[in-house]
Amino acid sequence: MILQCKQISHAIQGKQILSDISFTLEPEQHLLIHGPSGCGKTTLLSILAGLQKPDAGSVSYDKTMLYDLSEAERDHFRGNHLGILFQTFHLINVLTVRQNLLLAQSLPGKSIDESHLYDVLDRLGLADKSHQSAACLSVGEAQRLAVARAVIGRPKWILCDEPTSALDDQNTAALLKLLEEEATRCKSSLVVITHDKRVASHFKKHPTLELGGAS
Amino acid sequence: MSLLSLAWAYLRAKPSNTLLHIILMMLGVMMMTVLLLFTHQLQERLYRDGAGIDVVIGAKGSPLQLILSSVQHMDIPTGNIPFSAVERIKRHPHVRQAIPLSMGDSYQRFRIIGTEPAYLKHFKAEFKEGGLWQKNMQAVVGATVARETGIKVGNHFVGVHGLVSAGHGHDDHPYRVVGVLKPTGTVLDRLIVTSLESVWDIHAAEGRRSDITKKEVTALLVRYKNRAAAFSFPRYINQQTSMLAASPAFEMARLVELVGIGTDTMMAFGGFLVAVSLAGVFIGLLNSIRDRRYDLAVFRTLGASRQKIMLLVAIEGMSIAFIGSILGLLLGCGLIEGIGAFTDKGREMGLEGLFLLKDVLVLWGGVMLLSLIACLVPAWEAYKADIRMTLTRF
Repeated sequence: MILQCKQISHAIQGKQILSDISFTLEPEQHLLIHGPSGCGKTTLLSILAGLQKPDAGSVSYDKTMLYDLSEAERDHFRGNHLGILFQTFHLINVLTVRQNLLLAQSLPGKSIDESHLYDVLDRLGLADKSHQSAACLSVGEAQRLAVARAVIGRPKWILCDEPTSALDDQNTAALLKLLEEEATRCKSSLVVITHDKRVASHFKKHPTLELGGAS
Repeated sequence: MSLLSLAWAYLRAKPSNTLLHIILMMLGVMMMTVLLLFTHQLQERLYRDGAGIDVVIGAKGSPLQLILSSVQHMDIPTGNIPFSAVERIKRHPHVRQAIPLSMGDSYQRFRIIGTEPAYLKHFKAEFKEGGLWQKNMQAVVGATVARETGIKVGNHFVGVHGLVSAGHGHDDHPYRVVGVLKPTGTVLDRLIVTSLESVWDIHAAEGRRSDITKKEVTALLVRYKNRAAAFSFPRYINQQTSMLAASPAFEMARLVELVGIGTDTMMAFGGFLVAVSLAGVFIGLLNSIRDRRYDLAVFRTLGASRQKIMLLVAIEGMSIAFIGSILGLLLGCGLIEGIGAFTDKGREMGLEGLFLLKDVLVLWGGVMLLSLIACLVPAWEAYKADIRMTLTRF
């Protein structure tokens, strides 16, 4: 399961944000994409997630050329193969903890797997909160639910957009540990985009792509 | 988790808004349903009773009053005409049939009509029990009369003078019931029918008239031999005799038009309520899309297609429209059914809640279609939403 980016360039409103980005990610290998604010990190993540067609270059997951797919097929591919973790979690507050996870199974059209769902909730210490509204969770719980939602579909790639920027040191360490554990369990690759030095030091052993300034 | 339950979760998150929109929709649809059912049944009743009668001849007065008194049996008569005129009109070359009616008495508020057997044939009446009168002071009662008074073949009853409020009784002249009719769905169900002579005899015997040989009738229901008579015959009656000729079709059209102004206004008000509800749903959805653009973006990143997002928004709006309009329909039909079953006037009109189901369904379909159009705009907004722009603000 190889993620391959070839010569990606993208401009927004005439301003060149990304130019000639290429990298290859082997199965179960993690990647840290690092750079200051405004260097195009989120744009790159959008491109990797199939949400933004780049001006030039290609993204392929295994043999799937992401931007050769139609938009609906990309939505479907994303739902089935990618897990996405947002900076501010973005849980659906009108739903319960359990419903948030059910949604992640049903929206891409997968069948509901309740036992797997409770497995994940149990592992992340949310089992007793499953029928609580997502709006009532503490920061730590919300963070774990966001991770649960990203991994519930057993994605091969987990894309994380600044996952730690709103967290203190303790929560940051907990989140990164959790992410690594879940990635190992799902045999998936983590792609973490951040400007956070704490994340960088945690991912020392893994390849890092530096964005901004130089590129 | 289905889109329906997801939409429902959002509706439940704002219960007061949802309830308000449902109630507005319900009231609007209820009002329109009630008016639709009421005016249609009123019109149908008015026209049905006048079917097969080309012109009514009676004493001079208001033509509308003549029709309402002698065709629908709702108003009081304009007066009487001499029976000699009846014979003359029956012989007129344009006239195929003329049925005389003589009225003035009632039994428990049901009118006693002196007439000829042709009147029963006119309504295609059939006997449930017994048969036609053979002698004076024998009467045939309509289905509603039999049901509500409990009167049966062989029973006797005494008419009272007057059609609306009870006057003095004709205690010396009881009628004997010889026949009970099957329901016809017409005004006949609410009438007691007897021979002309019975009615004349009662009043003659009471000595209320100076000349006991003077026979009168209240109205004459006329059918023409051919269409051409419609132009000349009424003019002949109105100009060359001291009587009045009025056309049921024309007078009913005039009445419906007069009543129609009122019902149209109320119908418009019902439509206004529906429109307010839809506008509320429309604005509510547009706002909620703005509030929820993050949620919608998350759905997309979780693998929902644009179409699914659009569907979600549409389902949310349509749920309100569906629940509100169905409640409105049920309440509207229930209200009419209730008025028909539990009030005197409603019973008299024979109101039914399940009447004209097709038109009610057309109304419902129209409301749902409008709702769909109102929901499509926000749904389209949601469809178009550029989630990458939203994501970059994360």
